[in-house]
Amino acid sequence: MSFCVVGGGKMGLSHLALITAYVGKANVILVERKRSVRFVFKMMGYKTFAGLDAVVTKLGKPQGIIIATPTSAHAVLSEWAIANRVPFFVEKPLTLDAERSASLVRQAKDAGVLAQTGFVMRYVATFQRLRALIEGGRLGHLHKYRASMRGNVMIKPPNPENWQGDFKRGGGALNEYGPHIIDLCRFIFGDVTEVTHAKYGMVLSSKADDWVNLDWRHDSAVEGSLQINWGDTSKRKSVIEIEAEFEHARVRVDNSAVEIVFSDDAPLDAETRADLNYSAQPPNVGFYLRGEEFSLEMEDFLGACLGRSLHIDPNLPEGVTPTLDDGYAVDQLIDDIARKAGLK
Amino acid sequence: MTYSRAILGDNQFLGVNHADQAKAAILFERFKNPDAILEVIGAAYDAGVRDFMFTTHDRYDAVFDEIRRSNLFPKLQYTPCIPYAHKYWSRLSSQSLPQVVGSLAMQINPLRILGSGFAMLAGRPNGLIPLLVEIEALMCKGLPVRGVFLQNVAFDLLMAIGAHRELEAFADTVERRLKALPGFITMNHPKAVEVLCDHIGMAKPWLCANYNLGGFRMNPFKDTVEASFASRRSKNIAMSVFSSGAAGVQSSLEYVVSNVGQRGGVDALLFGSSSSRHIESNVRTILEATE
Repeated sequence: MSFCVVGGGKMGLSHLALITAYVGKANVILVERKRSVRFVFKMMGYKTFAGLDAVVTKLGKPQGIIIATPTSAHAVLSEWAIANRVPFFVEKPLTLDAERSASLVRQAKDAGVLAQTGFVMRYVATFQRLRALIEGGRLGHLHKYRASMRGNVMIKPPNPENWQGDFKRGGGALNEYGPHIIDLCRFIFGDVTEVTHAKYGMVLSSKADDWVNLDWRHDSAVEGSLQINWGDTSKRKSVIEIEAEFEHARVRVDNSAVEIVFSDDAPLDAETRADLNYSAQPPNVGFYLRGEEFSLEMEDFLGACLGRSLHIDPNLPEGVTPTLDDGYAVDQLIDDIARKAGLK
Repeated sequence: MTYSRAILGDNQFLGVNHADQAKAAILFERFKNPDAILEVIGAAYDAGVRDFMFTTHDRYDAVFDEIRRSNLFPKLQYTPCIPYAHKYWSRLSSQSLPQVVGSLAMQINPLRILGSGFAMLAGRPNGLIPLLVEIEALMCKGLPVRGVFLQNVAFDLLMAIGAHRELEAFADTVERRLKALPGFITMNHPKAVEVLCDHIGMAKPWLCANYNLGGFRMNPFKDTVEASFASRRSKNIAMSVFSSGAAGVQSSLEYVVSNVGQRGGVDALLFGSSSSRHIESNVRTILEATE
């Protein structure tokens, strides 16, 4: 058994540590082009390689690969996994080109290769709770919602060399925060039919958006407004907030809380209200590192590769695991938003 | 040396609230003012708290300057929890791991990095640990330090990747160089006991982990964490004691307090509040508990 983590940056380190807790260090390989990074991990006792082909030559085909490189390398590495029939997990966004993402979806389907994308916010209990409230229907018809993702990633002008401050290379708020909140809105409210309005602004960046505001409509006819801002210094860390207006209540959800305010004439008895108001506690995980959601997405991927469940909480909802199709859908929406806003 | 039973934590000062982000944002703004922090620490001190455990956020520089200058809270002991993970984690978006470590080491003494660098090249990455611990503990200079705890993001990560030499080096640095108690914050208490006691061979290490009526973030299961506390193989600080879903504040606290000492293996309770009144009543409940 062996799993490769490709990319020894922030997300690579996080995934590598987590999967080590589940499958053991002897079964985890780091693939990274930078020699200095390989050196550090090698000293920590990991097998390291500069490329995936070298892994196959020396150790045989891995049981799964986790792609946590800069986005520009996602497509090539995904294609490697598909060509070699190796299940893969690819970080968000899938690629920077929706057509390339569509091609990956087709190739993976044709080859029958299992793939998962890194839309981790789906695993947050509070957002799953909002989804269940919509599906449950007891709050009545959903009229509209507002969603925002705000954080303090960009607090000084970005280094011109760095990809983070360059929209074309995958930088900017839409590319960085967009995939999380766009996928989350699709997960909760369903597919998006049309982006009706989009606007962007630059504050500290000169080659990328620091904020994007947009309106869109879902297949269900529900309308949503999104605000994406990665330079909000009032935030200690990134926070997603959603306010949904139902027929019988207004629901506010963020990464850790669900608040339901029932309308005065809501036809719901006290028992139903109490039942709907229970708090959404995060599930237990086999090993906790940065949040349950990161453990759960890795439990999902490793479990799918190994053919047995690694979840320890028996009450997890179904249908959460993000697929390659979800990755493509989000890339297409980012493209639509960027065009509408004038970023492309 | 040991911890007193009631330890003041600092989530409220940094705008951390596991149940309410809106409240967290208000607190984050309110405690930008050092006087607001001093006032809450003062209320806790007056109520009998003698330990303050905090993350090494630069927000405390002005607070500690004032404590030193005015000689406030003379019997209070300080426990920094290192590192303040957000500042390093965000740097990793644009810098590689070796670059981040290198730039950090330059903050304390550029000459010191030579020794650590040679240690790294000789295959001993743990050679860097003393340096990193000292950088982080700098803000407490001149204050009585009871212990230094490794944050759960760092400890659980090092534990996951099997960095046992580095964990030993941390404990050793805290004990020998800083003459303080080393401790570890974890969200995986049973695993931490196994790694620290069985694999590394530490005797009764100080651990700080979630322990609450609702089982919030008690991984892998509430009952295994309770059993792990009760095994007495580690000394235990219970945290997130109020994170208990629908249960009220008083019953949440009473549950943890009822597990103090031999009964449940809880040695101390870490708690925080932004309200002086709540702090006083919580401290009373905690200190009145009998083992």
